[in-house]
Amino acid sequence: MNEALPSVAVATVLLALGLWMMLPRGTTTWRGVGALTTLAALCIFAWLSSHLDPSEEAWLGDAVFFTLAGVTVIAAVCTVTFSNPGYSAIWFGLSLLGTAGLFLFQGAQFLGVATIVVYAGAILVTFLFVLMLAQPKGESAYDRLSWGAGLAALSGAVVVGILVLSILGIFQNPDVASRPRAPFELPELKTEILADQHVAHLGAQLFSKYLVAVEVAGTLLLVALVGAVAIAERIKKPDRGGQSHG
Amino acid sequence: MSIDWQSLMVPLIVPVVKIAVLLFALMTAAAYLVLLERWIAAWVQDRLGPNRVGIPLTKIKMFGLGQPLADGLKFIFKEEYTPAHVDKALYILAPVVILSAALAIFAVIPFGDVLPIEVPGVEGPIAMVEAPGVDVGMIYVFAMSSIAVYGVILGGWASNNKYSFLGGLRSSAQLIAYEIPLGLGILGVVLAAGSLRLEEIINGQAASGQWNAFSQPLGLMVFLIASFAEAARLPFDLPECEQELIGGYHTEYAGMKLLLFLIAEFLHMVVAAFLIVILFFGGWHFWGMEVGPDVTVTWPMAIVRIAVLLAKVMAVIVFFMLVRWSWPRFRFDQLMNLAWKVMLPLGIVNLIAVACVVEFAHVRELEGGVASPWIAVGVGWVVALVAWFLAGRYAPLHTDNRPRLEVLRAPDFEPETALARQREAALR
Amino acid sequence: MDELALLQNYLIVGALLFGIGLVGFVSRRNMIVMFLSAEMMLQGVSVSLVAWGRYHNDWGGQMLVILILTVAACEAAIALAVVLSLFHQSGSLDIAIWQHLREDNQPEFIEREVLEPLAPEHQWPKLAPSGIEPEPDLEEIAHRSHV
Repeated sequence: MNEALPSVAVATVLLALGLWMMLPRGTTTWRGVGALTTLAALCIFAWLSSHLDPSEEAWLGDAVFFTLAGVTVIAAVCTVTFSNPGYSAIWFGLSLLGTAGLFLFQGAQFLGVATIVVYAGAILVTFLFVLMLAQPKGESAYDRLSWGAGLAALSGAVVVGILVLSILGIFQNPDVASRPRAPFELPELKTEILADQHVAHLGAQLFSKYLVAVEVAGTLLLVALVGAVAIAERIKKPDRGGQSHG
Repeated sequence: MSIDWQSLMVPLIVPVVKIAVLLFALMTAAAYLVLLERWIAAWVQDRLGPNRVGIPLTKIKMFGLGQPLADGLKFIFKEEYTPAHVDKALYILAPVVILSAALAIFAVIPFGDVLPIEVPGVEGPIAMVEAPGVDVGMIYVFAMSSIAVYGVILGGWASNNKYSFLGGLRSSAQLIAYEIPLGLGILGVVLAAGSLRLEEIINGQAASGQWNAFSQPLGLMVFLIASFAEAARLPFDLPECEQELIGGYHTEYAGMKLLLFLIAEFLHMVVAAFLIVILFFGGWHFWGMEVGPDVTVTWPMAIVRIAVLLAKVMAVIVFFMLVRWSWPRFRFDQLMNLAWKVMLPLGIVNLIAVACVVEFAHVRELEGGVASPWIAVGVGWVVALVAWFLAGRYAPLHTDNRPRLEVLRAPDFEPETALARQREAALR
Repeated sequence: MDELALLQNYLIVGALLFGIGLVGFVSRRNMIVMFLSAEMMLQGVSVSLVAWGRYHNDWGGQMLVILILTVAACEAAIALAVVLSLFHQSGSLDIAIWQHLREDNQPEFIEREVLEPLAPEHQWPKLAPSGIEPEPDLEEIAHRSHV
């Protein structure tokens, strides 16, 4: 952990400064510098993560991973720092596509496509609707001026720094790295991207070991549906809500 | 860093060739399907269609077969005009998104069985799918359809035009609403086949010889109607009808960007046709073929299978086009009511019926007996007829637009007082 | 890359997504963007979970992510209803309007910054209202277009 501390500290400070300069603060003077600073911080994080694996045989896999991770994180930064909320939503969609690619890279095919179907295809679209109906222009004062930008950027960067430091620290510990991984469970979690019968095994696990969770999730969805409809009904007829409280 | 180019490039050749062939075929198909639609429209409406443009710069008229070429050239040479009041980034992004999503769907759709070509580095014959072996094939199709909704929303919003905005909102609401009946129709097929892979679904139907259209007619109906709505074809094309919304979400587009929107719409229709054929009509299978995992596919067999699949797809596409000129379009509230109040319950009923049949067959097989395939067919048709009858009888009145003759023809009906009463009721 | 390096890289990506989402949630004033940042934090956690699941060869990682997906969908539905309700009452998506709902001893946030003026909106030509004759222009009447 000690050898990574200076680089992580530098990256944290750069990330805090960059995000602070890029967050909407009513002026656009330092946004370019902020973008470069954030990019520098992300490059330091990438450099830190690439030094974890010294073998260079699987360079194509590494290249794919860094492309996906780069797209995800840069889209995430753009989501948070663009003042037009419509653009924020589109950047978030791109970040979701990057995350779906990362899931696919891990061999979790179903999760990758399910992320796109549920998040990008339903949730994000619904919020785009609300945005379009509520503010067609996207140039309002509350969009161009965020509150507590400096403190927010600092706290976020510090959180990232501490997390990265602990991640690097745990696994540099030779005690942990040499500990054997958990014994294989049947059926084995096939980790190739094009695993045969992936969905069948996933379904088997869902409905045998995690059955209660599935049922609870179904009930939760029903509750959320009822709740959303109830709140929406109140918007349409506010006196009805007042009368019910007597 | 030494790069082993040969081991890198050789496995890439097959997919790249497949992508090239697919793109060429799709673009040509999109162009000539427009021509086919105009011919069919002309035939239905009892007039002559395009029959003048043959070989360009000559007087040879080949039944108008050069029309797509002329249309394409017109689009390319049209003035690329970006209006000043649009949101430029999203304006340019929208057609790109929708076309990419529509093209990406074709990565998992099989075009035949296999080709018996031996490529060094690739084991086995080449599957006629761009990305064979994707275990989540059907959900991937869903995912790309969900991304295509973005093109519509962004196009409508970026245009900064009330008509486009309304059209975009309506269209995306319709697309999202009909994704659920689409999924429910598919789930029955997936249950029966036991896999989400489109190749496996075809193989399942080929192995038993029983197409899913026979054993799940209700699922077929639900999926057919939902895919009409997903492709935004009449009778569901309110989002882009000319009479109400000028052009809907592509009002402000001209030139190449409009061409991208139109091609994406046609590709959606082609995808819908492919899915109907693959899921419900047996794909490349026809009775009399040798099927099975141990059958080696030879060149004649492979070509016959591709031809059978494409012929079925063409038949479904012609059906799509005929339907366009046969029914009036739905009103928007009728459309949404149909999705949520009629198609969704029918889809759920279909899923339950298929689940019962599959479980019954499974239990029979476990006990040692053989479940007759006719049970599935019988149950399917009985459920379909009963559910259709009940839906027709008890569906909410919004899906029915016929005039209420019992009111109009009542002996004491006076139009003025009826209208006055109706107005009073609306004001109250 | 070997399994350990893959796990560490994914955890770092998850940490970055979580931190950036945190920055967005705390600093942006638009309710929708706040919600998107919260979803981004959930995505960071999902990435970490999938990585851990693969490292320990346990399906539990992917199961938890499926549950996170479900919970996010529920949260989106209810958040949307609440946001619409707040918009209906206040007319804007600004969350600083509702700052009186915070704890009692927080300093009040008042917009003190002067915003840079945006580029002036394009002045579109206005059509003369139909049915009303425009004012006669003496110069135009007096202008002789031919010699």
